[in-house]
Amino acid sequence: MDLRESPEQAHFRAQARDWLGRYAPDGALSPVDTPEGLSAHRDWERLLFEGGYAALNWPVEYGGGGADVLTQAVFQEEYVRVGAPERINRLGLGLIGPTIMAHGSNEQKHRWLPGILSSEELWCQGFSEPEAGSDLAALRTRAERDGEFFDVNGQKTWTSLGMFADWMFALVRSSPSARKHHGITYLMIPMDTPGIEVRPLRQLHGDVGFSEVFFTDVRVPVENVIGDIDDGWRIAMATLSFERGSSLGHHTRYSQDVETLIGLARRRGLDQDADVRMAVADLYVQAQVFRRHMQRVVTRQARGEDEGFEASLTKLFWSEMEPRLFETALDILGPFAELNQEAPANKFPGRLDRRYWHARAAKIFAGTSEIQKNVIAERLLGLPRGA
Amino acid sequence: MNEILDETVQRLFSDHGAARDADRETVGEELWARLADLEMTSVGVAEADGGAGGTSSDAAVIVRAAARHAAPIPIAETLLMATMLGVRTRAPSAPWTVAVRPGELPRLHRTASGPALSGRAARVPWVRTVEWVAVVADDGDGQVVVSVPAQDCPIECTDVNLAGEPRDTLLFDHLVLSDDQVVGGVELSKRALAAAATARAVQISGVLEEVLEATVRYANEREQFGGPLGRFQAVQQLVAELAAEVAAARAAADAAVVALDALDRNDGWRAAAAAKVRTGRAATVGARVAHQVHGAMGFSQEHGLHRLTRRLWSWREECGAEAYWGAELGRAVLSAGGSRLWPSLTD
Repeated sequence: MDLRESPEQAHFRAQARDWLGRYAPDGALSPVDTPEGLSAHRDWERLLFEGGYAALNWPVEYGGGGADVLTQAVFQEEYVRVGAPERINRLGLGLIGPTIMAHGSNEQKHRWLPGILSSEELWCQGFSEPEAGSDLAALRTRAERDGEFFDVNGQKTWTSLGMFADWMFALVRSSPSARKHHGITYLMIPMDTPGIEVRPLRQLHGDVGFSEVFFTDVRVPVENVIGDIDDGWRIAMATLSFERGSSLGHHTRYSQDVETLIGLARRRGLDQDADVRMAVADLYVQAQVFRRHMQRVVTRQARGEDEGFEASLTKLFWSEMEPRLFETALDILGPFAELNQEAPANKFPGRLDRRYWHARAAKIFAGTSEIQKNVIAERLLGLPRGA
Repeated sequence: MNEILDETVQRLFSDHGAARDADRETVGEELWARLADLEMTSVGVAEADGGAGGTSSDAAVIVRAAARHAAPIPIAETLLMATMLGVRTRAPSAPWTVAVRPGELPRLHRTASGPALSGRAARVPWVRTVEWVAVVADDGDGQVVVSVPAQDCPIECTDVNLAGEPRDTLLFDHLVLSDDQVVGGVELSKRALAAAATARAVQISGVLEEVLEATVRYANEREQFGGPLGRFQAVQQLVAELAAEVAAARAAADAAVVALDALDRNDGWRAAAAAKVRTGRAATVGARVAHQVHGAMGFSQEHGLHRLTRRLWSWREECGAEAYWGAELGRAVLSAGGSRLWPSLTD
């Protein structure tokens, strides 16, 4: 494993750093669930597109940067380092775009890819339902065939970005089947179709990052099916495999957080405290391990050696580690943690309370730790499938 | 007797729907009024002094029930903290809070016009709700408790804890009082801190019991992969871990409540310290397990699990976190020497 950057990567890093330094907004944008925030985030996506940085992971033939995963990782590191905004079309660029490239017809590629690339069309993901979380195949949203249309009835939940997406890529049940993984269809649904109702789903920290989406007799053309009818599960697995690329800059963020924590400890006069030093040292070691781990993973991916199940290891690792960082931050701030107010002395990027909650949610979203452990045990280690 | 009290007070809280409606502004007032009707707010003050009488154990029953239902009232501060400072006779059924924390205390100066209070009291619970604030202060010779009407307390900065409970910082600037508002005593701040730690330990253990019940219910009701979550060994083991923490927390908190009557003893504070450390740890594990089992549902505002877990996360930090009490206990045990360890545990 080569930890040194190639001259090409170093050159790319310098260019990216320069571009981001010039164009990335100073300070945080307004939240996405405000009109001015949404507009600001869309403007940023347009800037990225014009700069050629919107979709480094896409093949050149589809308008992307054609960059290998190592180069993508370099960009992600620089992106996080400069504190650039949330990517509101990450589901389009990262998940459904590659899915269309792999499984869509030529007509579908022409129809959807340009809008995704420029982020003029924003996408949300309609997978989870109230009765189908970890057990996604238990999904119930029905799609009844009526000539050249499907009539869709049901409900999706935990739909990221649902409030302002133009399109949803959804899994729907098109045929009753004895085996629940069969009879699922991958369907693209325009969010302005009559019969769709989007309701904000407020989380315990007050943020509304998610929605519930209700479908009542929503008519969707059959030509919006990706792949074959009833063959959607296979394509959904491809989509989930593209999620691997989404945490490439994470270790950089984590290292920044450890630095912030050290600054907090100093300001509180706790840098001489034995307990604090042990805790910070432990987090620092984890940050180094995380960085090395990501370098190793990305190198393997670039060589085509990665089967995809390693992503479970990575996710399990950081989702167990991050809450500890915020626990330590709370310990350091002690009962002075002015969590619900923007106290300058205790300022933590992204607000400590929100970061704390989000870290707690990490063991649940994008596959719970229990599911990840099952994947690691069964797919990576070859242990027998559970009873 | 405690069982009847427990049943009565639990029914009061669940009938009221405190946990469900906790975001309504008037919930606290309504609950306090109901408790006062049943004379529960004056538990801990002798009948001869206009109170309902009762023991620390009775007080703990009420505080625990309130915590289980996430009741937004200063009942722990009144019944378990203020009582231990002997100040409540001036207002036996009123809501009280106590201002004390490890470190700097406000100062009391004797002046020509009377005793005057100056200095900062940080993150005092429920100041905007209570009628009286008992402030532990330093008067140069030792420590005193000063009973200040809440409306006379100057708030420098309003704030809340992670559970949204008010935690305001007071800044006294030469507040002149009358002599009868000042009471002296020995090692008052240590006494007040131990009482405060015990109060939070009782609250934490109460919430944990509710969290365990909710988690078991969820594991039995939520179905994925063709059956209830609770049939998976991984889930069972998580919940078993939680149950063990709940049991340990309850034992530690109960021991601290019993020890409240012996706070004047040299080592009277140790049970409080141990309880705060143990319940702090249990709170961390308990909240983690509860959220993991409840999955995404438990993260929504609507579900309400967060009303319990936010309190766990807040209360374990307050009135001395694990590090503070752990250090105190460690120091005491080490300085007494190895031969004293067993007797100190069993005496």
